[in-house]
Amino acid sequence: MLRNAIRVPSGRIAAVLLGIVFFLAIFGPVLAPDAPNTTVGAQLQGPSGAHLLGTDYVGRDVLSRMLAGSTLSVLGALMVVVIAFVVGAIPGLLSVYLGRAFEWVSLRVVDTMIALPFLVFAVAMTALLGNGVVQSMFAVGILLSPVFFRVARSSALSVARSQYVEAATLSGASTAWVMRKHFLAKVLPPISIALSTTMATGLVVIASLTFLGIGVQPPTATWGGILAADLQYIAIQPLAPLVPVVVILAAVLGCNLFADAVRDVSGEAGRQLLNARAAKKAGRVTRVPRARIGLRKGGELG
Amino acid sequence: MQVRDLRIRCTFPDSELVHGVNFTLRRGGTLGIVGESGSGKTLTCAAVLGILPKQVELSHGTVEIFGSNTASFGKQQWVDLRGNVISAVFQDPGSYLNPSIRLGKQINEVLRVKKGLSRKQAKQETLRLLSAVHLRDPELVYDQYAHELSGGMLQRVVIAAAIAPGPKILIADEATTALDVTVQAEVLDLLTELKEREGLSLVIVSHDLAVVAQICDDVLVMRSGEIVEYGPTDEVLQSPSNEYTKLLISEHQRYGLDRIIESERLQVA
Amino acid sequence: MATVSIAGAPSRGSLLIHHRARQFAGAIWRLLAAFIPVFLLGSFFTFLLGSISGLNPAPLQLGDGASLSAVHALEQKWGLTRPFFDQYFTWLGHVLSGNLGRSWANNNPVSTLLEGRAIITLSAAGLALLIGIVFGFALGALAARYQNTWVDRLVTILSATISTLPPFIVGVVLIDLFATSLHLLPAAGYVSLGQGFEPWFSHIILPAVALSFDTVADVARQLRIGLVSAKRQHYVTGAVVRGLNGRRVFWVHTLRNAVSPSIAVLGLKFPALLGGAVVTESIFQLSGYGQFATQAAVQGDVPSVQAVLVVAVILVVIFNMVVNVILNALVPSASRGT
Repeated sequence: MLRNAIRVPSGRIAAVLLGIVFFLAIFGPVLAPDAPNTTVGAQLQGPSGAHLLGTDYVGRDVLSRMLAGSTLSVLGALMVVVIAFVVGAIPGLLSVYLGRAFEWVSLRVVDTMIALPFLVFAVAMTALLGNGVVQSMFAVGILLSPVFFRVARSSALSVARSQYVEAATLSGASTAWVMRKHFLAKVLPPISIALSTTMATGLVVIASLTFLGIGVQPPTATWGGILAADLQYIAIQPLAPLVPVVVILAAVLGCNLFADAVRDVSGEAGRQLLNARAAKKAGRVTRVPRARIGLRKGGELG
Repeated sequence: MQVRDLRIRCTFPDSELVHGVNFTLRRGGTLGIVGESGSGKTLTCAAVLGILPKQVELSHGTVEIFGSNTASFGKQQWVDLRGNVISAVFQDPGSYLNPSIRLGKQINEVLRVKKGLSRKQAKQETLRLLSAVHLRDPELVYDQYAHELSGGMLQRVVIAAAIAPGPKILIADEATTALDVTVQAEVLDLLTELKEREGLSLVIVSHDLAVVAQICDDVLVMRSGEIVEYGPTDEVLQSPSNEYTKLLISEHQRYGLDRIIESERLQVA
Repeated sequence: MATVSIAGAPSRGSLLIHHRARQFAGAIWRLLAAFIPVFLLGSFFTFLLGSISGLNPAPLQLGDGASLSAVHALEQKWGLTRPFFDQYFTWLGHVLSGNLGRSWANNNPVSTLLEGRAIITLSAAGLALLIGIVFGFALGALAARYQNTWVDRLVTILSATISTLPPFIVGVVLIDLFATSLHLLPAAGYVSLGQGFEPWFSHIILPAVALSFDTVADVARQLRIGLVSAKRQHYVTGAVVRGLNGRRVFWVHTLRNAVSPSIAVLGLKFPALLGGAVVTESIFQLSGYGQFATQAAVQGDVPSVQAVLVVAVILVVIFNMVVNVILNALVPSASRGT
């Protein structure tokens, strides 16, 4: 499936963007030319040879701060996704198998969590529970978990109710083969879509929280924190906020494009699209089903 | 109404669907069009009503209604024609009524827009129409929604809405299909009655020869976009010249068509 | 045609009224059944959060060096030593009677502190909603009208793009563009509507636009899908055949049955609009309820935070109930008993 996702253009762009983002998250601090929290020059300088992205309001190197901040900004979002997955998927699976009472209660809880004004709760939870990085990741992870609750639940339902697993088992296929061939083919696309859209949300929320100074406080470098500081001095350096803006957007775009690519290549429509592309490559003239493009953004997963 | 050498083609993929249909509907007459599904009868009706689907077009021939050729019609002329001169009812009447608007309001709307009646007049006229199509309790039906009535009752409502602006021609495209036999007979009786009383000309489209035989003066048998037989009903039924028509009739004899033929023979005699 | 009713037996008209009354009661019941759990659970989470934070008013009221006995006395005074559910139901009762408690920070009733601020947030969120509806509907209708043309594709790409832009990024770019570079609009602050429409509007428009992007995109998307599928329905053909003109068919028949998903989306987006206020208010320096929530949360002023959260939950519940009522009125067939 991953290999297929890279066969469509949006998938290829997503792969490049995500590759860069994760590379920065892991090696960013090492690559930074200066220490992120040391004053290295004059305040609020524009880009120059010495400081490629200029300096901030206390004269720190912006590029170094962006690179140093990428770890917390990206890996923080990744942690959020992991927490949301664990917190959401387990009750989601259990809701199918544990009986009516648990099902009813868990569905009400999930309905309620979806209805909550997300960011206000994220801020309140993080700040009241100790206002640290760990708290913020757990707060956001828990609040985002309904996505995975639903994906896990619908996957479990489709397996519990389907006859193909039974049919395949009866016809002598091994359990492992059934799992690989049928279950994963059905379940993997929605899960990867949920993972990447949640990653996008996680990036935005972590950036929002650090922007507000919730969870991570200055002087620790984060993309959101840098943006907040830039905004204070927008009158002097109007273009400075665009640096974190562009970086955050690129990361978010990478996740969303990846979700789109998976959506495009999975299912029946996806098979048609891939076949059409293959045929086109081979030089035959085939119509790519165009009308579908308008519809693919239609339903949010959930 | 006269239809001459009507040809309809689909632009994508390019193919002709109806290959030259001719018929004439006399004032006050009843024409039956019989054919299996896909024979082009519904497309012919759609062409007459100016509601051909996208990518399907009238490629040749003319439709003349009361002397005016519809080929030259603009949007406004079609709007004026539909409802006032020609109207139609279809299979599955419930789906042709807006599910979210009370039934009375939908007839009301037609009367106010097409005949310029006031709210009060329109309501009165709607109630009159609802009782004219023999709905037992017009006041009740007026305030109901489509999902609250049975198929037979809905077809009566749809007929009431269709005849509200006083059209001269009514096309009933499979209007009694999927209704059960007694209801089917009642609706056909209603159509015949309206024809007499309101001076309507009818086009009855059906895959069922028995339906057409019961009330039509002329019958047109279609198969894969072509006319295979056209003539007065009793002639076609008693001495069909085409193999396909013969097949249709012989199939129907098992279901009691012979009795209709028999009774007509008696009338002729 | 007079309806003859047999004495004693109810006429069919009164039967219908009876039937409608039962349907109405059923609809109300379903509405409450859907939203009471959301309110109860939402308020429960809110209270639980304060409780597990383990915070008490001592740091705010006594300072850091307070003695253990003084802290204990203070906890006693605020009722924090009582059993959890006892505290929860007392608090819930107060909330339902309009008493949001007193702030730990300054002992003032939270409702007074929130009053002026809620207006700011609701102005921004309300205007964002309006922008979302107007532009979302226009774009969605345009895309559906010119389905499968470049207009449709442009709208699809546009809505896909703007829906990925988070409000605080849009906010920053808007400030950069309209305030810092073009000097067209103020970058920050709030002026109440009492001081004139134009100053109010010029301060509130940028935050509202920043908040609205996601709503515009989702409304447009849903309306397009709704219209495209409604256009194919038989009742549209039915209306055409009855001789109604194109405009009337669209406004009366197609649109009515096509809008429900886009209206339902508004219900889903409203929490995001309220939540987004936290960040947009910080960017545009509006002292609305989002700023209040952030400050209170950082201070550890638990009653204020709980009050803000529970008010948000109530607003979401009320808004969604209104959306539900509108949907039921627009498409009665969808509300048939399940």
